[in-house]
Parts: sequence; structure tokens; C-alpha cells
Amino acid sequence: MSKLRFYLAVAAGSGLGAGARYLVALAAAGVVGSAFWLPTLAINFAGAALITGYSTRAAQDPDGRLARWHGFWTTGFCGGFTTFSLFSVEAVMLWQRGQPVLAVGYIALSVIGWMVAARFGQRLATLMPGASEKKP
Amino acid sequence: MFSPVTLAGVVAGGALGGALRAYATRAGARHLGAQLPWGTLAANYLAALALGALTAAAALNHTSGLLLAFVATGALGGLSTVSSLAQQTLGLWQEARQAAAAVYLGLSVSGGAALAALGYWLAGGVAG
Repeated sequence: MSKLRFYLAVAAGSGLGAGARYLVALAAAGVVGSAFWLPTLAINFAGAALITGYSTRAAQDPDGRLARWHGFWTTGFCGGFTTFSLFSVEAVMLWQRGQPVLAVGYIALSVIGWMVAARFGQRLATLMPGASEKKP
Repeated sequence: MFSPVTLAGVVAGGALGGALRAYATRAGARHLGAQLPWGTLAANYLAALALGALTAAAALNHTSGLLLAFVATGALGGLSTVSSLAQQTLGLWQEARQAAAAVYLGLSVSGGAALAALGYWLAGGVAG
């Protein structure tokens, strides 16, 4: 894939991912109450599982359809869907509002959850029908 | 409340932020080496600092809704990433570079929080 096509695919995917994140946050806003950080937590877990799952499947067939759409879905969609900046600011906001325990707990839960989700996505991709045990 | 204009602003900003992140990832690997994913780290740091500042500015009513949608939710959300951070950390760990994985994850999270707080403070956010 040419450089320009790669960047266009990433931009399109990232725009779509950011739009999806906005819609999820909007839909969740009325439901989560004071746990304003909950949508970000869920979004980041989902994105971490999707990126490793997709990459693992795509690596099993380097000339296949998934490999061709790799930039769009991983660096693009997953990257735009997940957000590290909002996670960081939310942790600071919790601290700043006088909830330091919750702030530290949010960070710890996030970091552990990201890694569990990433491993889960990878594992799921190798267990799905038609998958080989090859690593990405 | 849903607004198509806001959504369009988020999508446009997300596209811009994602392309910048992809560029940073490539430039970081080319110029700084593959010891750690420097480009992603830099993108996440910059986005955390800027979003901290914008959050303080928004609380002081120094920003418009559409600007926040485009820059904060879109561009800075798209510039930063958790999915790549998690994937890169897992990759380092599975390459038997556990120390690098721990350093990368620790640097990302502690630096991100510190920079978000710094941005918030610099833009006039009030503590407490």
C-alpha cells in the first residue's frame, strides 16, 4: 500500500472511530450518572480487544482482505475510538474533585483492563474457527 | 443532545488526529528507534497536555461547543490511543522484553496524568 493510501485509510478509520466514541458517550451520558468515566473505560477495553484480535487474524493471511484493511481498522478505527487523553484528564478530574482513591482506582482498573482485553482479543482470534495458532 | 454538526466536527477532528498519530508513529520509529514506541508515547503525551488545558478553558467558558467537538473529542481523542498502547505493551511483553513493557506502560500512564494536570493548571483550572 502506498504511503498516501495508508494515511487516507487511517484518517478515515480514525474519524469513524472518533464518531463512534462520541455516539457511545452521548448514549451513555444519561445512564452512568456520576460515573462519567465509565463510557471511556468500556470504549478503551473494547478497542484494546479489537486491535489485537484483528491484527492476529490479519497476520494469519498476509494477502487477505483483513490484511488489506489493517490500517483502516487498527491504527485508524481502534486508535480513533479509544482515547488516552480523555482517560488521563478524567483521572485528574476525579483527583481534583476530592476523590483521590477513585482516581487511583480508575487508573489501576484501566491499565489492568487494557492488558487483559488485549490478551483476550489475541486469544479469541486464535481460538476462532479457521484460525491458526500463528502469532502476529 | 445529538447534533449532526457536532458529529461531523468529531469525525473530521478524529481523521486529522489519527493521521497525525500515524505520522508520529512512523517518524518515531525512523528517528528514535524501536527501543520503545516513541511516536505513540509522544502523541499520547501531547494529547493529554492539550486536553487538560482545553478542559480548564472549557470550564471557564473560553471555548465554543463546536471547537471542543473538533479539537477535544475529535483531534485529541484521535491523536491519543489506548488500543495501540495496549497492543504495543503486550507485544513487548511477548517478545520477552518485560522490563520495556513495564517501563512503556508506566511512563505512558504516569506521564499522561502528570501532563493532563499540568495542562489543566496552566490554562487556569482551579484545584479543589
